[in-house]
Amino acid sequence: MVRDEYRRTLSAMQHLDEVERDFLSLVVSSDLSYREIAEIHHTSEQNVKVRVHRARVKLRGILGGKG
Amino acid sequence: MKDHMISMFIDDEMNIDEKIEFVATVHADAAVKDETIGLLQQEKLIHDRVVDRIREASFEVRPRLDLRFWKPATAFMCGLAAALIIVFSTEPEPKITTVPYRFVLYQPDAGQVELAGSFSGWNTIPMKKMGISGYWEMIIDLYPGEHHYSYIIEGGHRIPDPTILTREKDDFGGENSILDIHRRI
Repeated sequence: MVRDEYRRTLSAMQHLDEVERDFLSLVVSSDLSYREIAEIHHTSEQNVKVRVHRARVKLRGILGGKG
Repeated sequence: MKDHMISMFIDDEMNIDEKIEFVATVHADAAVKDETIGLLQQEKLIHDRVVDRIREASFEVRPRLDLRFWKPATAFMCGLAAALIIVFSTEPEPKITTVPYRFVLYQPDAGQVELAGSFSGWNTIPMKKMGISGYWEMIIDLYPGEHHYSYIIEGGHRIPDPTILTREKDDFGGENSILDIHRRI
C-alpha cells in the first residue's frame, strides 16, 4: 500500500511542468529559501513563489484533490 | 490574498505582515482554509512517501555543516532528489541502472574546477560554472555502489567534497570523498 502511494505520487509529479517539478523538488527536499532557489535558477523570487504553488495545486488535482 | 501565499505559509516564507493577512484570510474564508489544509496534507504525503525515501536511498544522516558548506550541500541534495524523481517516475519496474548524480561545488573565486574519480578512471572532467552564482556543477550517470572522487581547483589544488563527510586518505597526502549510491527501489 505504501509503495502504491509512493509510485502514485511519483507518477503524478511526472505530469508537472519540468520547471515546476524542479522548483517543488527543491522546496520540499532542502532548506533552500525561495530567494536562494531563484538565485540558482537565475529567475525572480516572485516566479519561484508562483510556480511552486502552481505545482502544488496541479499535483493535488492529479492526485484526486481539488486542482 | 494571493493564492501563492498558501505555499509561502507551507514553506515558512512569510514576514509578519503576510502572516497576519494569511491568518485573517484563513479565518474568514472557508475555501482558503480547506485549500490550505488539503495542500498541507499533500505536503505530508510528499515528504513521507517521496522525499524521505529518496534521502534514505541516497544519504546517511550526518551532522549539519557550517552554512558556507551546507548551501552547496542542500543544492546538491535537492538536485539529486529532482533527478531521482524524474528517473523514478519514468521507470515502472525496479532494475539496476545508472543514476544521474549532480555534483555541485561552491567556488566563487575559481576560474577552473574539475572533477576526478573512480567513475572516470581518475581522468579529470571539467565542471560547468553556474552563471555568477559561484556554484560549479556536473551531472554524471553513476551505477549503484561506492565511488571515490575529489575536485581539482585551478588545475592543481585537490580538495574533497565539503558536503560528503565520508573520506579516505589518498596516496599523496590528500583526501578523497566516498560517495555511496544505493540501488534504486
